[in-house]
Amino acid sequence: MDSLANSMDIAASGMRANAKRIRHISENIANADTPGYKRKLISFKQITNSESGRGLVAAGSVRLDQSAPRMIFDPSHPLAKEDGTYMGSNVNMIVEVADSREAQRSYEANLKIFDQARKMSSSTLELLRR
Amino acid sequence: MFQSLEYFSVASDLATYSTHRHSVLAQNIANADTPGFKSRDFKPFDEIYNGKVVFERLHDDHVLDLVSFEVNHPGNSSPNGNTVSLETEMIKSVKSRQAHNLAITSYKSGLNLLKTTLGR
Repeated sequence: MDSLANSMDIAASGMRANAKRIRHISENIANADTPGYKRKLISFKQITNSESGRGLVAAGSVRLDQSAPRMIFDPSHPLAKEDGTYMGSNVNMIVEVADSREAQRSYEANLKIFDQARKMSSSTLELLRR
Repeated sequence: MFQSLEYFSVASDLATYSTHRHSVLAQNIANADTPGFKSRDFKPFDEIYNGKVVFERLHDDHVLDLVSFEVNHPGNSSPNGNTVSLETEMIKSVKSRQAHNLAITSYKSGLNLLKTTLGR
């Protein structure tokens, strides 16, 4: 039974990490028009739980994407320079939406595994039933 | 008593094997986006079952004879070194669940048979 509890722990850590990833993606999308915003990137890493020896996954530290921001032409903008452009953000909508799809798929796969582990342990306990 | 009946020991070993395999597959899926992670699996049950008790617990959770190895997927890794394919892992996990079901159901029907023999 401890192996199934491990499965549930691992699946839960995967769900947490993917939920954090979706949070950062939604931050990026919300700030797509904020001048000077740099999109946040997050990568996963494995942490080895010293008691159980099983590797859980965790979201690593947040990095800022250093690619060049878009320059938007709008002379009436308060931040516009002499040539009429101001610095926008470096968020690309298509990249963010694709990333969120991938995060959602990973999240659902982890949820499915959690459900399967739960069903396996409950069907084993059924054996005890008359 | 149940370990001397080969039927029950095979069923319980298959159930234990399935739960351990499920744990390894859960780790693969949780690390589907971790850079550099290689997916792992066990050898199939019929290859490692040798007619005797498969598992020996040395200490805590260390299981003898069940060592997971990295699955070799030539040409299947993504640019960050990850080799996990979500579809493959999901299908394997369903198969492992079905094997577990089979083991539990056979165990239960064996118990029913014994109960019928005893007249309960």
